[in-house]
Amino acid sequence: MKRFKSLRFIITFLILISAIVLARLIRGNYYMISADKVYEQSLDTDEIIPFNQYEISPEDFYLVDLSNEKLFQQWHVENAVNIPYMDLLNRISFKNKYQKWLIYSNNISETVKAKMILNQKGIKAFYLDFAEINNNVAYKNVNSIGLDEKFKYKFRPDSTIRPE
Amino acid sequence: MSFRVKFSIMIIVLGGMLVFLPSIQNKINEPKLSELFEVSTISNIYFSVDQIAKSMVREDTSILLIDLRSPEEYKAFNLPGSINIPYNDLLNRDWQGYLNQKSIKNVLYSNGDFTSTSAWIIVTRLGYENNFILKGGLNEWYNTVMESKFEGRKITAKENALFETRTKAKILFTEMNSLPDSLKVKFIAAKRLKEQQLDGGCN
Repeated sequence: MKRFKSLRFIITFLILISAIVLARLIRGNYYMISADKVYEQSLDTDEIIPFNQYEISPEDFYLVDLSNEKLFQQWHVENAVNIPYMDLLNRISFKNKYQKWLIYSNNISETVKAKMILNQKGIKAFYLDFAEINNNVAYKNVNSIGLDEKFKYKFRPDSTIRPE
Repeated sequence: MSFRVKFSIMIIVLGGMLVFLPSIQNKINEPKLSELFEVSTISNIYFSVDQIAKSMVREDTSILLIDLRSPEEYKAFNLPGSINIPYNDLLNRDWQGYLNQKSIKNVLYSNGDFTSTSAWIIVTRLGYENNFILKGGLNEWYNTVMESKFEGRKITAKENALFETRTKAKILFTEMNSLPDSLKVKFIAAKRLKEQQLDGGCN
């Protein structure tokens, strides 16, 4: 009987600690990866998934449209879930935390911030890129993340300028 | 079971649980994840190209432009007064003096928003303050400032001032980037001196 009491004490203690750890993991305010690791990941071009590749196996991803509700209602990719950027941290749940997030929006800066925040929360996240199908009218509101850093103009020096 | 045994078991279990706790704890200057997210949602982290054009024309020394492109791209052309910290070399300790300071505003830019936003997240996570993003980057600079045209019939005083600032910034950009590399730094210094003399200031 005494032995049973001790065992019960240990089991209760274990359950309590597990509950605390789980609560902290789900709602915790901790970085799951270091700043160096986040930086390394940001240099990885494999983190960009072209739309054509996504279409092959859409079930592999948790597709998220980060635009606001109004833009989402105007147009979105089929089966995408709307999580406006402002609401991102509140919408991470125990269920979607362990899925592979595939994100896009009409705002490149917000998409980048969302991916890096998710990565630091320990979530695997990728960018959905529309570069291949950008001529399609339906995608006019969504900029291509893969082409964002391409300089679209040409600098023409003025040969008439002479140093004073 | 004696208290000693119970206590030992508790300590071992606690130790074991620590393995499952997130391994990366906040460092001294780092903001919490929720704080980083909160700061990232406010629009104050962005500078518009018109704000930069204005500060460029006024020779505002409270703003430092940081070009995150490669050295080759930077050499081809850059925003007057900017320094080059390639994104690929961002965490090099040599740049800490520029990125981690409290006296001036750093405006990070590249061709678009992708690289500058990535860099902003990294430096803000590290607890560095006073870093901002040039919204739209050099593509937006070209679109708004370099290709600035007035197409309306009547121009208001406000529009006129904006158009004038864009034109001055455009001339400055073209002049500076058309010079040989060796003269670019001298050009900026000479221009500042000239402005100071015209304003009646002294150095």
